[in-house]
Amino acid sequence: MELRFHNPYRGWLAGLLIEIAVFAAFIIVVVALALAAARIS
Amino acid sequence: MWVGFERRDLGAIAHYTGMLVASMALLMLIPLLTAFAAGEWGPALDYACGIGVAAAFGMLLAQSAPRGTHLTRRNALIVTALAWLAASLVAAVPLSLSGHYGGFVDAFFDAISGLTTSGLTLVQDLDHLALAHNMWRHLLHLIGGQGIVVAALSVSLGLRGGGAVSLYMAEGRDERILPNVMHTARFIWFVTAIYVTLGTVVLSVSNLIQGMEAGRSVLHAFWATVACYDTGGFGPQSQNAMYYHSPIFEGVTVILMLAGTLNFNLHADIWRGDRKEIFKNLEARALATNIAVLSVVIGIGLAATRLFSTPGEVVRKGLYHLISANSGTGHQTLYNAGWANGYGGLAFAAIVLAMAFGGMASSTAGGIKALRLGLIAKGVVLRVRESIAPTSAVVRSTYHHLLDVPLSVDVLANALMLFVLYLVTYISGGMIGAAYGYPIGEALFESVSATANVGLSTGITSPAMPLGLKVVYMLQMWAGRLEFIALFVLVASAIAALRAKRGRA
Repeated sequence: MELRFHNPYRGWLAGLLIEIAVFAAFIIVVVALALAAARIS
Repeated sequence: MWVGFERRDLGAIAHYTGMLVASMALLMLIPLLTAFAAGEWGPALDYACGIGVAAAFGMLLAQSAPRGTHLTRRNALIVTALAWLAASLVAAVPLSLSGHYGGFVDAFFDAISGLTTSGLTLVQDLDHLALAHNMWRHLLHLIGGQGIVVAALSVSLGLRGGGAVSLYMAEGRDERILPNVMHTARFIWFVTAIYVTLGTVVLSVSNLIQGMEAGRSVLHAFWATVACYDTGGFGPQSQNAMYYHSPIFEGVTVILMLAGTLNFNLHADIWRGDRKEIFKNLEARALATNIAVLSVVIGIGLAATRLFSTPGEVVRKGLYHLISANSGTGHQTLYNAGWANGYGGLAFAAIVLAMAFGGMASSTAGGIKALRLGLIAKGVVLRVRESIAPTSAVVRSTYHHLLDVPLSVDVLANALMLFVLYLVTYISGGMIGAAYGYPIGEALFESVSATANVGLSTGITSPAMPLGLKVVYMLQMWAGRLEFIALFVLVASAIAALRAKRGRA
């Protein structure tokens, strides 16, 4: 694999983990929002 | 200016279309090997026939011009529009021979749906479909999600030289991640390979814990991962995601759907070390706001129906469908028919809006796209600021999408044009469905699902639906995936060619 521009391999694993952490945090936020909405109604 | 075709234009178009079609023959080797491994001799013969047809058709077209022939921007758009159709045609051959479709049109419908990552299906008796055919259906998601051109570029299948950049840009992608288009294509596959491997491993373990046999666990995990990451929606079981009844499966697939709907440029930025881009990016903010607002709406809507025993169940079902709809995946954990009469008007509206808005640009998702919605919102705010500012004031706006960019009239006009094109297509498809006798709400749901390449259904999409409606949905899936422009260029070029021919006569 030839990916030399700005060395895209540097820290790809950290990038992947950050993405997954952001998705998980976002899911927790929307679950909380939807849960609050479901309880109110 | 309308420019007619010369012989060399037609040769170049046929050559590149042929190369892309021939690549489908190579891909069919995977289901062929799956059939051999599983001892499915009938399906093996189906794929042997498919490979023969794709190779013969592709190579015949490819002989029309020498390798490396220059491809203009217009011709690249035409190749892209034609290649998606031609690839779907040859992809439908083995499906049609499977005996699980009402005819070739139904198999063609599934091939288009697979390649455009829509997920609407006309397959019959899905639960007894051969492993090879399931492998092929999900591979179509994988290839279509990345883009047929990207797939061919990454293996350098005769596309080096004059045509590569034009074709890449023509496939609904207006941004290059890396300076070299080949490297860009390979980067897209690199991100995909990481997510698909990770998703397959985690879901395999989840399936094993659930008691599934080892080989089946891995295959189901791979197919679910591909269907979610490529925002497709096909599944190997007629009950789709509901079949697994697993919170782990649902959690993992939701993360895969979100990863699939992330702009590849954002993946690249984050993986290069720019950790803050995801928080600053207009498109990411627009999508997050969209999902957050609609999650409240669907929470209220589903809870009001009193169909679910606890608020937790409301959230589990509601959010899964919302993210499935917003990302353009179409995986479902509720029955189709409920959208028509069980889940209430508010939840129905939230799902239709989520499907219509779609995910991010330069991703595997469909729909209007969050970037365009964000730009339009910025444009509205700018107009309001202009209206209340003193006459002498100069009001400007910028947005952050990888860089800080001034909000120009051109950018806004382009976003609004595509917004209107999607809207017109959504409504037109809904009206056609209503004209065939379906309730207008359900017809609109199905039309939005097809155009935005989602795959959720109220039950209209079935082998029994009228042929005309099948053709309309196929056109909508094709046009939506290519974001209209390539399709319009194809039509305009055909008209120009006819005019030129009439002028000569």
